[in-house]
Amino acid sequence: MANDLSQRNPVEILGEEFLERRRQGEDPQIEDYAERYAEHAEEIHALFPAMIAMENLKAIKSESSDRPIRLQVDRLERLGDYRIIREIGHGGMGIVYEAEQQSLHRRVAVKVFPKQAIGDSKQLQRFQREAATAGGLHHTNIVPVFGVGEQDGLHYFVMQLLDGVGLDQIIAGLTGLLPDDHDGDPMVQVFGKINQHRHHAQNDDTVAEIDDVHVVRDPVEPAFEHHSFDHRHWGRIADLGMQVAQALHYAHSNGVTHRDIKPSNLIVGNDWRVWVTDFGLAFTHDQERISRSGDVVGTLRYMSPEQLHGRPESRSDIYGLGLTLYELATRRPAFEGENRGSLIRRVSTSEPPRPRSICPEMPKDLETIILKAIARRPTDRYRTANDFAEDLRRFRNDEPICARRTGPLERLSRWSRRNPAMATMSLALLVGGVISLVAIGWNWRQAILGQQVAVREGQRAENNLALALGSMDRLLGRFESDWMAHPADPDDDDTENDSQVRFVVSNHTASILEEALEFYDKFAQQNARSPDLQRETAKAYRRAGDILERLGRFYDAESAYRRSAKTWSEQLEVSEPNPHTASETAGALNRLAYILYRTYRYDDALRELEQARSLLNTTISQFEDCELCTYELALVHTNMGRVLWRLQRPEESVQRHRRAVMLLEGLSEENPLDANYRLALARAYRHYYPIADACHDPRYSNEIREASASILEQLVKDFPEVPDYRCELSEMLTRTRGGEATPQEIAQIDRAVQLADELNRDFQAIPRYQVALARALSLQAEVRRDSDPISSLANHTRANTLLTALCDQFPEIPFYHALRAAALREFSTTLSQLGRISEAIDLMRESVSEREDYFESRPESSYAKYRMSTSLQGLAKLLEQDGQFESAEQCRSRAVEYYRRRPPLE
Amino acid sequence: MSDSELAPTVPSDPDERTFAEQFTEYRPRLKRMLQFRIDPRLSSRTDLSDVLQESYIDAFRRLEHFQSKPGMSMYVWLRQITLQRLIDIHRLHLKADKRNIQNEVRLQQQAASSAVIAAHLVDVMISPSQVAIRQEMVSQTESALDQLDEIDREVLALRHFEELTNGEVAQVLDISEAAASNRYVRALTRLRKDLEKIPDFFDGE
Repeated sequence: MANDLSQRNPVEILGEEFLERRRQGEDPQIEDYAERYAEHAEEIHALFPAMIAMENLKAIKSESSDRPIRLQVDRLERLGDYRIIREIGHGGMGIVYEAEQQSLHRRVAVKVFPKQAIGDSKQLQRFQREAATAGGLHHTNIVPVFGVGEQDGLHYFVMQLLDGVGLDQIIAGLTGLLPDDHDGDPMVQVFGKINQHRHHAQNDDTVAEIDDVHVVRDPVEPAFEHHSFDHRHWGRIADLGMQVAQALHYAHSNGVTHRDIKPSNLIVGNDWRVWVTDFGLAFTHDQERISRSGDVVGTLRYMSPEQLHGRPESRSDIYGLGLTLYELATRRPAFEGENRGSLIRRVSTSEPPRPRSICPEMPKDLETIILKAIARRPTDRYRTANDFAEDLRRFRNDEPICARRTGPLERLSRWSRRNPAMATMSLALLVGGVISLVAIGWNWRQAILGQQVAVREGQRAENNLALALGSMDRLLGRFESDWMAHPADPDDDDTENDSQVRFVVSNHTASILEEALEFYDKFAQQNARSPDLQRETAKAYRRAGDILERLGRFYDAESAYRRSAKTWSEQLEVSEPNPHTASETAGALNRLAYILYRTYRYDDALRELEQARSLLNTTISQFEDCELCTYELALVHTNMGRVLWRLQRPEESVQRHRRAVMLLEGLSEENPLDANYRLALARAYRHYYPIADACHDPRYSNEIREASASILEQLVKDFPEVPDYRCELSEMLTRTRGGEATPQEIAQIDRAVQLADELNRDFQAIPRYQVALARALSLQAEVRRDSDPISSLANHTRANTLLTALCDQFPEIPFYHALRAAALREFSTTLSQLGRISEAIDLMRESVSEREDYFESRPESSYAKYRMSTSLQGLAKLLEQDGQFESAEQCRSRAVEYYRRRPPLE
Repeated sequence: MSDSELAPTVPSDPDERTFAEQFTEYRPRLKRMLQFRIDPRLSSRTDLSDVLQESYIDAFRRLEHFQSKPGMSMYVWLRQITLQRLIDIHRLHLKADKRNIQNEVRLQQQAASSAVIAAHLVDVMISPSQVAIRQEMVSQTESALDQLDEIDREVLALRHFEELTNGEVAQVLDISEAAASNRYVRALTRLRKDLEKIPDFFDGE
C-alpha cells in the first residue's frame, strides 16, 4: 500500500483527507493545509477551492432532502455555503453577520431573520419575490443583494459586505458635538471618530452595537476642497441626499420601493459614497410585523403618513429620505415621540418645525428642498426621486432650485397636478424593465434547464415553475410599454396597418426579447413530454411565437405557433371540452394564419382560419355566453377578411369584416366598460374601412371611419390618463382616403395634430407619439398646401426635424427611414409648387436615399420596391422641370428596374 | 419514504443478515449514484427504492461471485450490480426508439454527461429561494463542468457525487490507483482553469 500511496499524486492524497474531514462534519481550512504542506501550497490553493465547488453541488442535494430540521439554533456557525465569522450588528428585524461564502471564497454580509419575521408561506413567497427583484438592482448606491436562502427554518439574505458607517451613527455623533467643538466639517470629524472607536471595538472582539453597519475598517480621511466650512458641510449633505435619491429613482423605475428609508439603512463609505441597504425587505415593514418586533419607534419615525395608513408608494421613499436629511441637517429627528401612539399621531397630524428654526445657518434652498420632500400629502412632494435628486444637485452646484418656497400649510405645487400615469411611460422605466428582465431571465433560464427533473418533485416544483413563468410574464408585461412606444410598422402593407398591434422592435429591445425567447423555448422543449405541463408548454410556444413575430422572424414564429396549436389541439382531445382551451387553440391557429398571410401564403392561411372558426363556432354553440371565444372569433373573422381580400374575393372579405364588427359591437354593448373590446372594435372598423371604401359608396365607408374615431374619442374621454388612446385616435384621424380632403377631414386632421402635439408636450421622447405628430403635421401640410403654403412649409420642417431625430436615434429601425422618405417627398412637392425647384430636388434626392436604406433592409418587401420606384419617378419629374433631362432619364430607368423587381400582385 | 422504511426486513439466514447489514450501509451512496445517473425522462416513473430492492436481490444471489474476487471493494461491486439494473431499466423504458437504446445506455455508462449533471443540479434546487441563492455558483460550476471532457467529468462525479475513494475509482474505471489519482488531479486542474475564467469566482477576499 505504501508503494501505492507514493505513486499517487500527493495533493490528491491530501485532498482525499480534506474531503473526508469535511464530510465528517469538520471544518478543515485550506490555509492550514497550505501552511502545513508548504511545498504543495500552490497546488492546494489552486485545487481545493475547485473541490469545494464540487462538494457544494452535491451538498445542495442533501440539503433539500436528507438533512433533519433542527428546531433551535443556539449559535450559528454555518448557513449553507456561508461560514459565519462574526456578528456585526443587529436591529429589530434581524442579525447581520459577516460570513465567508466558501465556494466563492469571498466575504459577505448575511442578514438572518428570526422565524417570526417570515410567518406564513405567503410572507415567505413575498420575501423571495422581493429579494429576487432586489437582486436585479444594480446601482452604484445600492448594496448588491446576492440572494436569499433558508436553513433549518431560518431565512437569510445575503448582501455585499461594505466598508462604511451607518448614517444614524454619524447623526448621533453630530448631535453629541458642541457648537464650537470642531474645526473643519463636523461630519468629517464624526466620521473619523466613529471609525476609530469601531477599530478599538473590533480589536476587543466585541460586537459593534449598531444596526446594519456591515463592516468597518480603517477610514481614509477624505480630501478637502478649499471652500468655507459651511458651504462644504451643506454641500456634502446635499450630495449624500442626491446619491440616495438617484438610487431610489433607479429602484422605483424598476418597480421596487424601499419603504424603510432611514439613517440606519444608509451607509456612508470612506469616499462619502452612500449605499442604500435592505432593499427587498419591505415585507418586514408591514404594520402588524412592526408591532410585533421591538424596533417600533426606530422604524415608525421615518414612515410617511400614507404608509402608516397602509398605502405605501414610491413617494414614501422620498419622504423617508427627506426626514433623514432633515435630521442630518438639524441634528434632531423631525418627529419625536417615545411610543408608538404618540409618534403615529404626530406624523399623521402635525408638521415638523421648519429646519431653519432649529438651525438658522442652514441655507434657505436646502430647507425648501427638504420641506418639499416631507410634505404630508404625497402629491405635494417631489413627483419622482429623480426630481428630488436634481434639485439637490442644483443646490450643491449653486444653481437655482426648482422647488418653490411655499407656506407650510399650502404646499400644493404644480408638480402634483402631473399625471401619475406619466411615471409608467417614462423612458427610465423601460430601461429598468430591460435590466431586470436580463437579470431575472438569466436566473430563471438556468432554473429551467432541469425542468424535466423538477417535474417529478411534484407540487413544489410546479409552484416553482409558476413562479418562474410569473416573473417572466410580469417583466414582459412591463415590456409591452416598450412595444407600445414605437408605432406599428406597416412595411409592405401600403394601405392598412395590422390588426394585431404590431410594433417596431429596436435592436436593443430585440436582444432582450431573444433572452425571453430562449427561456420560453427551453421551457417548451423541456416540458414537451410532461402531460401535466402541456398547457404551460403550449402557452410558452405561443409567447415564443409572439416574440419571434415581433422580431420579424416569421418562419420561426410560424413553427412556434404550429407547435402551440398542436399542443393545444392535443389538450382538446384529451380534456373535457371547455371554452378556455378552445379559444387558446383558435388563438394559436389565428396567429399562425396571420403569419401565413404576412408571408403571402393566403390559401394556407385561409385553411387555418377555417379550422379556428369551426372550432370556435362549435364551442360557442355548446357553451352559451362564451365571451372569450366570441372575441377570438371576431379576430379570426377580421383576418379572414384580409386574406380573402388578397385572394381577390372582395364580397366574402366584406362579409367577414362585417361579421367581425358585429361580434365586437355585441361584446362592447354587453360590456360597455371593457376598454379592450372597445379598442378591438375600433381596430376592426379601421380594417374594414379601406375595404368598404373600395367596395361601397364612400359615404358608407365614411360611417365606418367615423364609428372608429368616435369609439376612440370615447375611450380618450373615459380614460384621460391613458395616453395611448389619444395616440390611437390621432393615428386613426390621419387615415384619409387621399385625394381632395373634405372640410370634415381637414377638421379631423387638425384634431390629430392637436392630440399629437399634446402628447409630445406631456411626454418627451416617446417615439410612437413623435411619429404620430410628424405624420399629422405632414398630412396637415399636404391638405393645406394650396390654401396656406407658408404654414405648410413650417409643418414640413417640424415633421422633418422630428423624423430626422428618430432616424438618428434608431438607425436600425427601417420604418423611421420609410416615414422620413414619405415626409420629405411631401415637403419636396410643396416646395416645387412654390417654384423652389432646386430645393425640391435636394429633398427628393434625400427621400430617395432614405428609400434606398429602407429597401436594403427589406429587400423582400414589395412595398419597399414600389415606394423606391415611385420616389425615383418623382425625382425624375422634378429633374425634368429643372431641365436636367439626362439625369431624369437615368432616374426613370432605375425606377423601371425597381418596378420590375417587384413581385406580381396576387 | 425514508431509507430506513425501505430497508429489507431482517432476514433469518445469518449470511443474508450480514449481507443486509452491509447493503444497508452502502444504500445511501447507491441511491445517490442512481439519482445522479438516471435519465431525467425516467425519473418521474421510476422508484429508486424499487431499483435498490432488486439490486439487493441480484447481489445476494451472486454473493459467491463477489466472494471469489479478492481485493474487490464491496461498494464497487454493489455499484456495478445496481448500475446494471439501471441500464436494464433504461433499456426497457426507452425501447420505443431502438436506434437510441445503445446511445442511452452508453450515455448512462458514461454517466456524467453535463445534461444529466445540470438536471441533477436543478433537481435539487427546487425551492425558489435556493434557486436564487445558488444560481450564480451552480451555473458557473455547471458550465465549467461542461467544458471538461467525459473522462474528467466522470472522475469528478465519482469522487464527489458518489464519494468514492481514489482506490474505488481505480476499480470502477479499471485503472491503477496512480492513474486514477493523476486523472483526478488533472480533472480538478481543468475545472479550476475553467472556473478561473469566470470573473470573481475565486476572488473576492
